[in-house]
Amino acid sequence: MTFESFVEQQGSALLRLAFVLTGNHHEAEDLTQTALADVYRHWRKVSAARSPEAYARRVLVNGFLSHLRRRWTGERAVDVVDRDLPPVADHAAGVVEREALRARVAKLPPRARTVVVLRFWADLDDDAIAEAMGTTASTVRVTAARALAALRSDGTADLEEAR
Amino acid sequence: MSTEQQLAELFDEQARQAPAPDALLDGALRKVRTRRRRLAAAVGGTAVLSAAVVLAAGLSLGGGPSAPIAGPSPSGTVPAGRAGQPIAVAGVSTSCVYAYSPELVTEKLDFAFDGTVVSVGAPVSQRPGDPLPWDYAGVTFRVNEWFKGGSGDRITVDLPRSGQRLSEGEGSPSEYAPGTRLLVSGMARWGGSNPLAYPVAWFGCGGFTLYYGDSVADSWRAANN
Repeated sequence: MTFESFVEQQGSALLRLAFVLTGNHHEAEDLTQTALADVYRHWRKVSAARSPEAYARRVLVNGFLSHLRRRWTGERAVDVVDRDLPPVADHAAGVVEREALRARVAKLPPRARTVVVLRFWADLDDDAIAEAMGTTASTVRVTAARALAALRSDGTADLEEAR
Repeated sequence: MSTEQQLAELFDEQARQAPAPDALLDGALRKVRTRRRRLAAAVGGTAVLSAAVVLAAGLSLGGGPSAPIAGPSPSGTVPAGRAGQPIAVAGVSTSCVYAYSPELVTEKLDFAFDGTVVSVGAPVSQRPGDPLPWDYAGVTFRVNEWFKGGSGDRITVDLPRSGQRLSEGEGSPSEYAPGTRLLVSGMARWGGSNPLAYPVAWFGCGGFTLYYGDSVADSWRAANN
């Protein structure tokens, strides 16, 4: 497999993952291109790996977390603010609920958000998430449980990152 | 609906709004090229330099009486007063990815050795088809001691040509000739498992490739241990 064909096959999925993680078109493209550039540099090793796409995903996730680690100062990593939602008709309740959940996800610390995305969107199991994030499956489970609890209660302000 | 299902739907909805992947390949390759240029800056500034330098055994390094060659050591010569000093000093416009330290040499770089220049020829780290400029010299060393990455008694490594400056009009140029003894560290330019594939020396940024000095050699040996 050539690097070009790898990008053709996996680029779209990586870009979607980057977009779900960042919520921003420009950042998602930049994150994906940076990850692919790293993959290109190590292409001989990557192409011989059991799962080149897992390697690329790990590079991308690490890039995302490193980027946020530099930016994360305890404030919101994504520009989503709490809103006093106006009264709505019943048929809009689902939309309102979705927006509220989106805001709560945006408030999650980076690693918790990453675990949630990889589990509930990328549909990875704990081992695969751990591999992508360079951590252990037990840490993934703890982080996921805390994140879900926070999302249900909107207690994200008290959520600390599990390492 | 459970929180888990809501999350899955939320992320699905977000994913559908992701940008098209049209620019990924070009963008990734552009970043590769940019990184190479930064690497070149880290190891010696962009290499668009004139290189009309005559290299000959016994040539007085530095082009003037201010840099005489000291008497020969058992394994080569070092310009007087330059023992343990970097072979080139960058100007203010050269940015460094890493600042030199003996630990960095053994932790980050692929190879490090004490060697004496035997000959200077064409660069060896240019891959066929790579269009990027690479105005370096392939310098063959007789290796006195390996600190990391190799075991043979000869190695050819790309270095900036003797007389080149790391940034035009700034700093001091690299100066060496057959017989000069250097401490050289660097990396496989294109990565991979072989530390000596397409080897290029790092220099500037306070060190990485220096005129031989006992204390520097000791520090590399200690860092490697």
